[in-house]
Amino acid sequence: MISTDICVIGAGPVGLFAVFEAGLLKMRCHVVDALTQVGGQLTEIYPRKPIYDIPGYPEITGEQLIGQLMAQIAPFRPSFTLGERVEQVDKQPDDTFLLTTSAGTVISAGVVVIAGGLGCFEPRKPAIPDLQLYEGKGVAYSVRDPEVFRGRQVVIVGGGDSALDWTLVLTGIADKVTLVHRGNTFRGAPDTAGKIQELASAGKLDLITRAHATHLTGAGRLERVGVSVYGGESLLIPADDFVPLFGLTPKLGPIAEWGLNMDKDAVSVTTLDYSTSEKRIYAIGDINQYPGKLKLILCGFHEAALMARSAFQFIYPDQRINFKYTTVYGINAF
Amino acid sequence: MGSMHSERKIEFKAYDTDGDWRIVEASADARLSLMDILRSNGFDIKGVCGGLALCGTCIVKVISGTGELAPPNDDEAAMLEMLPDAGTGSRLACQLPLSLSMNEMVFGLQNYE
Ligand SMILES: Cc1cc2nc3c(=O)[nH]c(=O)nc-3n(C[C@H](O)[C@H](O)[C@H](O)COP(=O)(O)OP(=O)(O)OC[C@H]3O[C@@H](n4cnc5c(N)ncnc54)[C@H](O)[C@@H]3O)c2cc1C
Repeated sequence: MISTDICVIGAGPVGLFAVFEAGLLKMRCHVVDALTQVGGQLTEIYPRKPIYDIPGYPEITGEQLIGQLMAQIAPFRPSFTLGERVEQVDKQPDDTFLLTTSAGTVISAGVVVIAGGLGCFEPRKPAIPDLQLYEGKGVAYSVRDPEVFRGRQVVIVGGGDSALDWTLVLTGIADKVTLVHRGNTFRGAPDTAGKIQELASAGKLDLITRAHATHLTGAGRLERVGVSVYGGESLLIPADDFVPLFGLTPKLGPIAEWGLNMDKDAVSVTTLDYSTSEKRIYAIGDINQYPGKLKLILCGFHEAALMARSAFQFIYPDQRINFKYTTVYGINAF
Repeated sequence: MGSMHSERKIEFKAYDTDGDWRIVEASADARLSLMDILRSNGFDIKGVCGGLALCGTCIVKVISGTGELAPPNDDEAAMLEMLPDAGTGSRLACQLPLSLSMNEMVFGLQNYE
């Protein structure tokens, strides 16, 4: 079990900056994110777009800002659990919390800070009947370990970079790879697209364009993928694995089930300290809602500062905060 | 604002995801996108990325009048390719500037998953 003062849910810019504000007040943080990388929307949706409204930076890309935040919080040595989402937050008799992730990691924390943004990034799923039924029984939305596909018959659908990249990787490993793509051209990186065409011409890959997957069959486990070619035939392709790769999109996810007062898809907070309806649970950044809320990075940073001062009372109940500038006090790493 | 007497009004029909529809009136001179105007008319469009063709959450189906619209640019086309349920006639509302050609067209909001 991991023990920490504050468990921060979400490693977006606001969750990361919360580590800094907590660190100034000597509170240690453990950060959990469903994504395998830090940075939230900035890294997942717009890593190379310049942002113009971060105070002190006339222009900075999403990726650069996250790099700077990671450097800024390094002195406070946060620990991370990445690639797992927080499923449950359970209050303990002593008012602290036990958090459980999708992979069964358990974290004990005195305070919980939800910095979940727009929710967990999850794979976009095609509307195919019974898709859910075969999840874990042949249907997967990502490739974590390519070796799992060795010697198998794999059908990949999608036309973006991740579909093309994984098709290339799996073509050398799987027994047979079929790539089904809605268009008849690829827009991803031109050399990747070129390699796909080469493999297809050499008969090493089955490429079916202008087509989409329609249904799945199999008794208890995936056996075949139905594919319909536009204006033409319907195929039934033998398959051990079906991998739709259409990128990720944020979905609120488990946060809605933690018994907090919500306002649509956001957690209601008070602007005094960004606390939620549950004592010791705070919500900051895009995930919260209050009158006048602006979903901006800089507003989330402000919220993090006020949250930390309030959380201090629970982590150090016998101490009082002396307000000090960082210029006066430095950052006193730990 | 410049001279307003030649303001060009457009009207089109839009269905929400429940199948209810409304007539939307707008000025083709407003420098707004279809997403902006649908939102301000109370349609529930997520539009996570705010109009950069980066999230796909403003996907709409052009039910009638597709031919009137300029074809998607590279950014929009690339995003549409990433949306499993985009089909012929699917567009990103954030990438469609209001224009006279939208007059009498019919749009339908799509679930963005
Ligand atoms: C294209 C685009 C352009 C933008 N431009 C600007 C701009 O110019 N200026 C500006 O200020 N803002 C801009 N924004 C908005 C800005 O990105 C957000 O305000 C900011 O990302 C919010 O940060 P956050 O840390 O609250 O949440 P996010 O960045 O959304 O991060 C939240 C993280 O929490 C994780 N998470 C959620 N639930 C769980 C769970 N249960 N378990 C584990 N992890 C979970 C998610 O996986 C995610 O990584 C833009 C947004 C987009 C999409």
